[in-house]
Amino acid sequence: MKRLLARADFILLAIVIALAICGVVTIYSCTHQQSPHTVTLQVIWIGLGLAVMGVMMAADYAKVATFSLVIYGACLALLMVVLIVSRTILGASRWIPLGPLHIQPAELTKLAIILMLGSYLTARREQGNQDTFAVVASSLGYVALPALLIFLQPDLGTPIVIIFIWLVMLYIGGARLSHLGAFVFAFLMLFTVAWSLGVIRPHQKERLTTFLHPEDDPRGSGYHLKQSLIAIGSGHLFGQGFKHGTQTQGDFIPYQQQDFVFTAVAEEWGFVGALVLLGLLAALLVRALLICMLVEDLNGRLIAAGIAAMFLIHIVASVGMTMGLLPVKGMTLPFVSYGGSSMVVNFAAVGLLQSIYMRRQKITF
Amino acid sequence: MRKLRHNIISLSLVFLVGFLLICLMLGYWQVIRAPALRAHPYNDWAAQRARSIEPGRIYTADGQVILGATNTTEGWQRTYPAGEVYAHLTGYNANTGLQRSLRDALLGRGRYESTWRNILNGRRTGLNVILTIDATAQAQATELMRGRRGAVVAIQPRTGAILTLVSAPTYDPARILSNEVTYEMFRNDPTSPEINRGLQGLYPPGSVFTIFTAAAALDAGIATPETVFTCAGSETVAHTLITCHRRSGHGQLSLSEALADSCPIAFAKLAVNLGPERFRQYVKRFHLLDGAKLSIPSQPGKMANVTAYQGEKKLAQTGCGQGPTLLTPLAIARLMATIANEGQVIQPYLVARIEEFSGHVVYRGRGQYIGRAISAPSAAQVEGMMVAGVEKGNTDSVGIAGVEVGAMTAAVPRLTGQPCSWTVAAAPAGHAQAVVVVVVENEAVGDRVAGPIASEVLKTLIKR
Repeated sequence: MKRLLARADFILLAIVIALAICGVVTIYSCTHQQSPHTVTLQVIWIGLGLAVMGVMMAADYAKVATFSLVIYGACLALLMVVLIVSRTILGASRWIPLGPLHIQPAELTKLAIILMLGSYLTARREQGNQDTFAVVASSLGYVALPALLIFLQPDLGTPIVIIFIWLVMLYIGGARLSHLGAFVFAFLMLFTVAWSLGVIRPHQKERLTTFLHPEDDPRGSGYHLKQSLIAIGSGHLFGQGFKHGTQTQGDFIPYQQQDFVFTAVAEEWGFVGALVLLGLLAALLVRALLICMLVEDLNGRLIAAGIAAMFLIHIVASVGMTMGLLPVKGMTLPFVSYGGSSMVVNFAAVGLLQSIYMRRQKITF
Repeated sequence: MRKLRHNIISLSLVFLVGFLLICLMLGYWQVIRAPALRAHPYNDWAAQRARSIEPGRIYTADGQVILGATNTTEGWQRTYPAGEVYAHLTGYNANTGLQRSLRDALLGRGRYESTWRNILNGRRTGLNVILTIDATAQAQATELMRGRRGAVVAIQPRTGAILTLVSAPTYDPARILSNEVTYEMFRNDPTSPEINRGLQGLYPPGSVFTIFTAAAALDAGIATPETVFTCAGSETVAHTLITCHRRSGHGQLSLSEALADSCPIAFAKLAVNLGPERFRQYVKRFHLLDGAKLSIPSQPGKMANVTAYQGEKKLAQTGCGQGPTLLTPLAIARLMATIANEGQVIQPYLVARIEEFSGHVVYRGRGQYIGRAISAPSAAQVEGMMVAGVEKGNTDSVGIAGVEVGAMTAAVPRLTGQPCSWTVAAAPAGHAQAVVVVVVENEAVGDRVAGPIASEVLKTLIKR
């Protein structure tokens, strides 16, 4: 075991710990006036996340993957439970109350889908038919059901994350671009129909379109984005300093410690600080992709690619929405945003990456 | 396996491009756009900070306070001593009206910041703003427009100073801000009281537009006030049927008579004779479609492209005021001011002075000469024809005893199907002290409603 642990990716470990520290510092700055216990909870989530990561590192990812169907099924069951006994926050029912805690099964489902797709695509490749249209279509089945259950919560952001993970894993698994393009086109058509038939709810439409013209209603639907941009612009090159961000300390950005945590970093640490954070996030992705490249086993490679895709879309969406590049959606910034479920899942994902990296070659005793 | 590695490299490149894009955007917002975002009107922290500065007041030309300030436990708060009379000028919060456009001056920030002044005052203070508005005429016009929709705009034609700028319906800023219900009612009011109709209301000018056509034709030398036209009640001019309001027709009439009685057939023919290119040039020389460069935004005008396909047809319609032309009352006032100012176009202005609390002037406004539209004799001829119209009784509701008034009225259908009425007047003829434009929505006859309002405001202004 010691020899195995010695083969862990310590750079990756250092990166995620650095990101988590960035998160704790930023969350403290965001919440020390209104809810000082938030940062304590975040530290607890990180501790729990590290423990889960340790378990995942110790476990052989290949063995974990053999339980992928069980994990996937459990997540589906939890998603159904959400629709029945969930706690509604801000009009959405995404959390299962568990004593003082609230679990968000949609977060766990991302990892479950990565494991499930990894096993499925590996099995298809072993049968020699990984690049057929049928494989692409049948793998969609594993994605469509959880995506639909999450969409009904309602949550539009997580289904998009899941579909992105699916596309990346299929591409890495050798699917043809033409097949994937056909599905992307079909999704767009489906989305257009859902939009015009009113399946996409009015508040979701507003959130999807406001980022194009936030000035139209800067006190209403465009408020979040406008205040977010003001916070970023107020940071300038070197920031206003820790606990000195005027928008952050004035509590002008709703849910800043969760989905808009990047604005607090940009305001208090400036362009330089924001670039350092983006650099750490880029390093996280580079390490994930490097593991994807180094590992010989296809399942390991697919899982690593899925995890990299999950991190990427969270980073791009979470940072992009604060600058008006993308619609405002509830997306956490990995390891930085406040949130128990996402923190534990992110650490578990890194634990899987470590497990893959540590077992990339057989150890002879 | 090689293909899979290739796929990973391709994916990495996509990731890299995504990251670079984010970094570029971050640099754009945090470095290039940072100053604008820090000063953004919806920067709430900046608004909080602003409350620690004693802000400047806004005064009319004759010294009436229209935007005051009072120190409260929450910092400096705005007061509106004259209420609804100046609502469209002051706005109702820091992000509307002159409070928005003159924010830096009123708070003594940006180019108006002076450390020396702050040391002398012992605190941070803003600057006072003195407008060109005449308080008496403004209050009178507001009262005359009560219960109506429309606008009253008055300009000093020689200087370009805006003397009156009234939009109706209006609102009391203090009252609408008193609670959320009144504010929501105000924002959702179907009569749109928030719009400054004098600067932003676009109306079809109707036969008021014939002032322009007559001026251009006289200046181009294709007609004189005595040029005779024939009106049979309706006539096809340049393949478009033009109908006169006098169904039986005017018979033979001079250009002067056509202007006085708003004969569209005469002006349709005149516009076609002028030709699309010259017509377009005169539109530019009068700056007819330009928005005014004031501290409050104004709408540019709209007009059919008379040099495009079927240009002559559009020209005939536009020239007599029956085309799809839309102009603000301020644009019409500037047109009339150009006639009264011997053909010279002056850019109107609203801010007379910006000064420190001590009275030291840091900015002095003035109307900017922006070109000559027509010659002085041509302008005098147009003014003469308008005076003749009043004397003959065509626009007698605008007349002022003992004063030569040049005026024009029009009743036109709005695009919504509801009519609106115009009265344009300038007095005394030859050396006009004021040009007044009144537009009243939902009124069929210009003379009866808009005429007396214009006459009353004009009397007040020339008595000053």
